[in-house]
Amino acid sequence: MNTADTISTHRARPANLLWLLALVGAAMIPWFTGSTFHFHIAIMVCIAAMATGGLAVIAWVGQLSLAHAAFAGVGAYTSVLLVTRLDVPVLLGLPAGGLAAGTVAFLIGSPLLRLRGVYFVLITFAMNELFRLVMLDIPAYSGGSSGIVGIPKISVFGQTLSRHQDVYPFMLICLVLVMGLLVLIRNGQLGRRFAAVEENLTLAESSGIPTARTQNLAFTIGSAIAGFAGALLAHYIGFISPETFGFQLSVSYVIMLVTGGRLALWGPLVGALFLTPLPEFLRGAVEYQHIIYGVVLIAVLRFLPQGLAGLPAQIARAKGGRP
Amino acid sequence: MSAVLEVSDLTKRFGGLAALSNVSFAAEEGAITGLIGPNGAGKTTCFNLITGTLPATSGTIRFKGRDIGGLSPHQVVEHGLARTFQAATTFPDVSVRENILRGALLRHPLGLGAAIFGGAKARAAERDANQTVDEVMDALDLSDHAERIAGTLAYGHQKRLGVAIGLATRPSLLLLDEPAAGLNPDEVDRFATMLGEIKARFGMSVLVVEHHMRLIMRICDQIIVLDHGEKIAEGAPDVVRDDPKVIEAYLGAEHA
Amino acid sequence: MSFLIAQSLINGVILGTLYLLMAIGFTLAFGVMRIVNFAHGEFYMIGAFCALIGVTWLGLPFPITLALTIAFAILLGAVVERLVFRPFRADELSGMIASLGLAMILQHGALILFGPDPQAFPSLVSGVFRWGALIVPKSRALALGIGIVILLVFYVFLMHTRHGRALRALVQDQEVAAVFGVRLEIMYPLGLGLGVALAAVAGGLMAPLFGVSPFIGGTPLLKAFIVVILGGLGSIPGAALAAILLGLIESFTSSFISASAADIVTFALVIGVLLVRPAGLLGRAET
Repeated sequence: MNTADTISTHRARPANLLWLLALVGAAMIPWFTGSTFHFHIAIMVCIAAMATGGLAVIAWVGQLSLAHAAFAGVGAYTSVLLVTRLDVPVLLGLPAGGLAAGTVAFLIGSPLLRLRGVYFVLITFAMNELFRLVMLDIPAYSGGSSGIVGIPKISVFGQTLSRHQDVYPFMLICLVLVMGLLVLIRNGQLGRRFAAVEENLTLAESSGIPTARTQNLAFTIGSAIAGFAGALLAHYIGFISPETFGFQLSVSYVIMLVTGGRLALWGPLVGALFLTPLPEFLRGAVEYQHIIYGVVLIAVLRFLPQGLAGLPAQIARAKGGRP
Repeated sequence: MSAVLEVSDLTKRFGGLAALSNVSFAAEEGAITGLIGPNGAGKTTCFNLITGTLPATSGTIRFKGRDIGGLSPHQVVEHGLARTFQAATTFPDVSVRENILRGALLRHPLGLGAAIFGGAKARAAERDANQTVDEVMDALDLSDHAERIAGTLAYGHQKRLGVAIGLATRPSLLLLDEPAAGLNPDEVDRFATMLGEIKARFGMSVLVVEHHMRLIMRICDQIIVLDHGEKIAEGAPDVVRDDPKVIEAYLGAEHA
Repeated sequence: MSFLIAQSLINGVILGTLYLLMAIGFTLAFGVMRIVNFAHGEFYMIGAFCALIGVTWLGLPFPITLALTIAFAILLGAVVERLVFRPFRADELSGMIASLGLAMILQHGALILFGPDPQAFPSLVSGVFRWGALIVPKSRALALGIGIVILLVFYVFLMHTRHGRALRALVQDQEVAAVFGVRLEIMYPLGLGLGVALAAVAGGLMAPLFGVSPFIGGTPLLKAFIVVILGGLGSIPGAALAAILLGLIESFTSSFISASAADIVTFALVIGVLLVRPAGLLGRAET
């Protein structure tokens, strides 16, 4: 993050406006084509972007979590169990899922966050595995390895959103809310604290910023967003199992974040927008999909350390001008 | 004059090794106190204990009459005791203004709601914080560089920026860790003048660890000398300068 | 009861030896290059396929197949070091993320080449060794025997050859090693190559026992990961201790409680160790 970004988001520059229009245009595509399949892809982009957005908040304080799928799982199971066992409306179950994931993150955050860098990655990796194993061990709640099927669809004011084109606007609203939250965090005092902690933890602490509490706050917010996105996923797909929220899902969030830009505000959205539909453009070569993911990840790390969202600035720099 | 910082019987052991043993001293209100000694005398350890970076093995640290032992570094800063680092330590990727703003946050805190959702309170806090930043930049002669990216500044400016971040937390005692290290003689002179000015302007006391003897003798009202983790002398600059124990510690260290 | 204990002990040691084979390469990559290699399990998978190709397609004897596997793996490791990891030497986190990408490429590459179905491996030996009530299948004993021989060879290499000493020096202190003329351009590919080779050998040894498919890398990676956390990232003696410990814990917990309990116990242990002693049981403190 740099100040140019921070300041420019307050004023709508023409370039930013163009990007915004492009985003809105991209969001409209399914309505133009009318294809159910495109609605499905667009919905998956929304969910992935939200979950990755949560991961980004954690990355803003300098930590990379490989337990993100587990928090999505906590949210998903919380909402599904509330809705199916206690007849709670889905509309309440979704935020409850976020709340549950955030609470868990808050409780385990302070010991975990004492570890940094690869050590934090490793312990979150272990937490994700532990979550999967424990869930498999309590089939009465988790459905075991066969999971839970027939999860109720999202319904708003008694209206069940059963068709893809009905769910999509709801998902878009959720995405706008989550991205709005990210923008507010990034541009407010909290964002300033997060950036200070990310850039120089020691200096941040001795400038009076409670770094441990700040990191835990980011971890809590980010994991809560993951929980919310996980709950959305569960009610949309209609099926979850402990394996749904395994290592692979955590890795795919990491890939989207890194590809979009680890510290860029719009990184999660760009990453999800680029990687979620990618396999569909490669229809003839579905089996190459993961290989392409892997190559993209390594290439982005190597040549675009700021991610795709940082590409315009990087091009501007290469041309000799300042971004 | 009364003591703003009182350190008594401060001891730190690493394993069996005593880095600091039973050191007691006081920093007077409104004064510049120097902490000197040969390499390995325990100055930095002493700094780290006072700022909460390391836990003390035993002893007490009282700041403005309150025991601050066992507090974490950010809590110590909150009580009004800020520090700078030996190397030029800044947030290198953001502007000078943003650097100092991050220090100024401390005195303009917001609740979680206002911190996220903004509002009138947040705007007022932002305005006040920026006022503090302007004042600090003016005092340290950094105003011309406000929008420069910190990492691109000259070393001397970066060191001054380090002081500015500390100053923005509005400390009543500022701890400077070798502020002259890496500066050229002109910059050292300029820093000495500037330090006197900011001390008066912001009404604070200063505790400074420094190797640069000329600077220490020039700016300090009182000097504490450490050697091998123990206090061997203390007093006004000219008294300390002529103390045979101090001469021996320095010569001994040089001849060893 | 004492019979069950003895049997668990034997099984635990066998498991531990195999885990050690996996873990040493993982810990070596971290010790030498600061890489947390999430693709390590895929090299196990590749080793298993090498063995399958050698024995069933080419009809080579098992020992020659293993030797070829080792040679191929060292080469592969060196190439991977140059193409994937070299740009991230100064950046642990990026190197680790890159290894996640590498793992996907390798696993799905194997999927395209060999298909998803598990492939049977012809058994090399059959029957069991019996001592009273204790039973050890000969296939396991063979894997254990070869595994121990390879570990011993590796130990001698590490302790008594110039390159081995250079590797150990790198693990101890990068800068000092560089000052004393350890050539990173050679040692980095060698370090990763050897680590990869050990994983591939483990895969080759296990192939006759567990079969071969593109997805078999996950579990060994997990075991290596657990061992290395418990022993301390980068610590080879720590890995040795932790591998045997893990083998025993798993074997005893699954004999006396249940297999899923064994997994939960070990992961809880991993988290506990990371929280209390991030440097591992024998590791040096990280600063």
